[in-house]
Amino acid sequence: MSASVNATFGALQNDILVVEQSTMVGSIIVSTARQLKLPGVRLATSIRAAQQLLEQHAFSAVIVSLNEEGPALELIQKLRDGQTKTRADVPVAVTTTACGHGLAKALRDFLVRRILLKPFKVRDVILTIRMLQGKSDIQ
Amino acid sequence: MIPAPIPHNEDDRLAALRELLILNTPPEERFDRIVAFAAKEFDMPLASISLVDANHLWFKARIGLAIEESSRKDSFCGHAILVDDTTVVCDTLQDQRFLDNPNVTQAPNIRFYAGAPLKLAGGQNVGTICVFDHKPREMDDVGLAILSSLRDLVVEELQRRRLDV
Repeated sequence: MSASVNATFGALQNDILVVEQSTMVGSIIVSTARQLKLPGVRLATSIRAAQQLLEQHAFSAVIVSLNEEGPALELIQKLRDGQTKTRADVPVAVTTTACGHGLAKALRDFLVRRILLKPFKVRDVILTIRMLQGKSDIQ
Repeated sequence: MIPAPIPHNEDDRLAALRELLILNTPPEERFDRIVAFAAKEFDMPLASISLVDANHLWFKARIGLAIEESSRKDSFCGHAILVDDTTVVCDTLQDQRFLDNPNVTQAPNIRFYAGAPLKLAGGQNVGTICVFDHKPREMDDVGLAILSSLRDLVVEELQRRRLDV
């Protein structure tokens, strides 16, 4: 593998995938992360778009909206099963409008690191990105 | 109080503002939602997209403000457009520019202000997106970055309108 290919691969591996259906909220997250010089944030506005990105790239962390709960949980299952280019032990956080016992158990089983309840603040997502990147003591 | 100074490029700035064809237009959902987002994100009772005209400050979108326009010389945004960085006044009573400003000593009794200038592609700062509070506060690097992101959205919308006309 050439040096330039290695560099590109390494850069993609540092990116974080954020699945967020609201284009406005998603673009604010991406722009804010860029201004804070955080790792690159790739935005997917649907689970389907996220799946396509995961088929093409490896990511260092994933934040998934559970708006489409079934498909979103299937996506996390694929991640944990190592069926994507991303490492199976990738740090995962989720955003959701509610979290009952059943969902909480499923998320624990998936080793989800953080649950952000909607409506969340962009600040919380940014702090979560920092946490997933190991740049914060917040757990 | 120090009245809002006039920028060195005032004529060019006013020409660029008027070319946007946005002064005195009705409220629009695309701007209202950005201001609503700002107020909620920062837990602020007051937020606005303000355009600085020759003598007045005109609010294209606003939360918590009953008026549609105010005097430029008394405005915080008139100061904020003088620089390209976000202006943060943590406590207006500790700032010589604002401590006896009527917006501080009377309603809306502003104690905190943060405003990001709306800089057009031509370099003119035509207004701000800003948040206010009735109590002193601080804004960290994350808050500044979020406000800058909202500013970029507003500028994009302002210039989209110009391109669409």
